Amino acid sequence: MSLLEGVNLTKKFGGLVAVNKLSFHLNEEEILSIIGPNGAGKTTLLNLISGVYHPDEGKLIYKGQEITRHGPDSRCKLGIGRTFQILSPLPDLNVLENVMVGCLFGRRAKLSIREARKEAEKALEFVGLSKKAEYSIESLTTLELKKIELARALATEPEILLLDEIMTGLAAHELEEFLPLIKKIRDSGVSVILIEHVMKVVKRVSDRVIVMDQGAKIAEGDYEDVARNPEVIKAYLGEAYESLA
Amino acid sequence: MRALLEVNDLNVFYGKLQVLRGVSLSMEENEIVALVGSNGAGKTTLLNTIAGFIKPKSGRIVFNGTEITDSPPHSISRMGISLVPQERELFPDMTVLENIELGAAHIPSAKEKKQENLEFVFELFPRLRERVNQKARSLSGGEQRMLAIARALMSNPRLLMLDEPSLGLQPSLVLELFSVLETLNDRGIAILIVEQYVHNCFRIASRGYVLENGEVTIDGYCSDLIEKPEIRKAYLGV
Repeated sequence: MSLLEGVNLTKKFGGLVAVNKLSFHLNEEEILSIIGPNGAGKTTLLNLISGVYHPDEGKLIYKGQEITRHGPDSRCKLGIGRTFQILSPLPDLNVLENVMVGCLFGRRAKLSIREARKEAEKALEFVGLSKKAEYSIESLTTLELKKIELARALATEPEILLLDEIMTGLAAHELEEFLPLIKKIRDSGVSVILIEHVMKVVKRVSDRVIVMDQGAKIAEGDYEDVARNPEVIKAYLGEAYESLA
Repeated sequence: MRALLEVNDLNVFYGKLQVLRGVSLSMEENEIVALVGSNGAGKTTLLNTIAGFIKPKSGRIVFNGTEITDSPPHSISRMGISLVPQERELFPDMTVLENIELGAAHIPSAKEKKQENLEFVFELFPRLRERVNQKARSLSGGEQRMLAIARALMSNPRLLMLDEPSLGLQPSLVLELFSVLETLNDRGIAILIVEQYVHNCFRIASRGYVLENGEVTIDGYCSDLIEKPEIRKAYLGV
């Protein structure tokens, strides 16, 4: 059985059909990448999954339960966590406190502050930032902020983690640090849905890839399959994409 | 030959935190120069300091023979330096055309050439011509990037600075972007570019600088840089 299933999802903004009769599924312990042109509807799909938007048509089924009308907070409590494209840490809280927010408002039953602190420390250790627990947010580099964003989402104890362009803008050696984290998350039993434009990232971490164009799914398969698909090359990759080494 | 841009021993602080340490950099007329480095190395700060948004504690910036270290951003842009910021900084509720035209506002030399430049940017980005009357906020991420570049070009720059222009762009548009930059360079515009697609960047640039913790650690011709093991490992991912 799939962990998550979207059936015939449609979301319109005025006259614009951002997501158009799209169906997909997510398996357990899987990294599923969603790629597609700018404006294809990828972030809207992620917002439908996390509950920021409700679809105009179609439904979402998570572990056999329909969650189509659930709000984002209740989905987070059910085990769907996410990061945001625009990093938004709470600037007046320190690093550890930022991660504690995830513990306190996530899937775990009511935690005391002391317990939340403990869990947050674990999440920080997972992303390798234990040493910075007491640092202020403004002292961090972009790479560290991205790891905090990840740790905060992990602290909600998700079964599904949605990552919206979390690795965008990283230098090659920073990617080498970040990519193993994504695989480690999957190997710990969490399924990941990833939006990313950098093909060397998609190629290296994806178990499966869905390609969207104009709100619809135009291809699906492993990376090598979709990268060879003429429609995908035309709409998204471009003929010479392999030169983006 | 006189350098177009000369940055000499620049020291920049945010409060007590030193962000640039003795940075020197030079560019010839019509050259493409690449600036690479980790996140937090000071690349954006360097561009913002050249553009006049940040004042250095010490050091000098000379553009086209004139010292601009203490000049305000609007006079620096009048002299011919234009910046395409990472966050694009468009006016979301103004139309595409209004955003583009703003690039030429208050710059006498650019006003004269406005019509010509307008034709040029539409030729460069036909998609923007199709969307002239749409609000900037309704554009996709890639189109907004094009709009930011188009606006920067309207000021008639001799030096165009781009801060990670490929960020969030689909692969086919990244390639299109690099070919646009080559076209601009063919028309005589010098380009200072920060990019994480280092391979592609080194292909169009003549020289590159590596910035680490606020310091220039390596610089040279891209053809040499691309052979250096430390650069291959850290920035090219091979």
